[in-house]
Amino acid sequence: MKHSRSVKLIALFAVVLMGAREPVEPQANRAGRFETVEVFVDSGERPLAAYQLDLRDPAGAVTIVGIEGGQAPAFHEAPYYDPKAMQSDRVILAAYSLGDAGALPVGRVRVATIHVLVAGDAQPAYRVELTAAATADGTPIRASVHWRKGSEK
Amino acid sequence: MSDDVEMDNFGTDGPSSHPRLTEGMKRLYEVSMPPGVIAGLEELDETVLRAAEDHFAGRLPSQVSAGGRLRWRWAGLGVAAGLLLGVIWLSMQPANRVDTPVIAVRAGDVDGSGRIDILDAFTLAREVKMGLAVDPRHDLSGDGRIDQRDIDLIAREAVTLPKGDPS
Repeated sequence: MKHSRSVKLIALFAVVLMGAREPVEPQANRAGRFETVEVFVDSGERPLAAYQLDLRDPAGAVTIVGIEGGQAPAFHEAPYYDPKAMQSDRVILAAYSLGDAGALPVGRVRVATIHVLVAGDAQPAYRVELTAAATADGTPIRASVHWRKGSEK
Repeated sequence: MSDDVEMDNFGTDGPSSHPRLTEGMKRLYEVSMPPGVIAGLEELDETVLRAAEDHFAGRLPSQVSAGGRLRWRWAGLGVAAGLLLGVIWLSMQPANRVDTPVIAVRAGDVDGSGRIDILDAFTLAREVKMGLAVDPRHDLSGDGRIDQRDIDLIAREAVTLPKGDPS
């Protein structure tokens, strides 16, 4: 009887310990901060009609929590992305526009804004790679991609 | 034919040994054709004969050496054997073998770049918008038509995070 009571106590203690461990990570996230990352594509003098880019935080200190479109009307809608990117530190973004060349942005344009949760006091150094870009007639073009830290909440 | 020409068996000596026949033949030719014409015909016969001899001289089997004929035979046998081996090799290939060109035209790879990215979706969207004929292989939704749904499927495939991504 005493033996059974001891086992129950140990089991209860273990359950309490495991339960106590669960909130640890969320508490750490809550200790972080939300901020935004603005992503820009520069297509030079060519109108930008389509792009695809890969953004990640190699340190794994961020969690992506939201994605929205860019400033240009052609890319105002949220781009395509994998839903699995949410709660992840990596996302592949892509979008295209069938608008006329005159309605497409040229030069440097913000194509997306990413909302992230940064753990602790980390200062993320994102790695962004442009994997595809095309102009209005579908011709692939050379372009560059940049990111900038946005607002912090 | 003249009545005074006697029909006879010439034997082994030929017609020249029969003076009467010879004379009769000469008279016959003199009556039917002038002498100048006969001389011209003889010359023409000689010319044709010489031309024929010259023509066929180049094709006589004796003109080709035995070694040359042998080489041509071996070359022909080699070509035939090569063709036979090629046919056998092709027939032994598995039907479901996947080669690079097949990958290049897989469903969704609209621009044939070998990978699926946003440019495939963009290209397909442009083709649909312009009403161009679209490859039915890009009917990813399987509904028998190519529309925005297929374009979206390609775009989503393009942004899908790789499986096993450490992030």
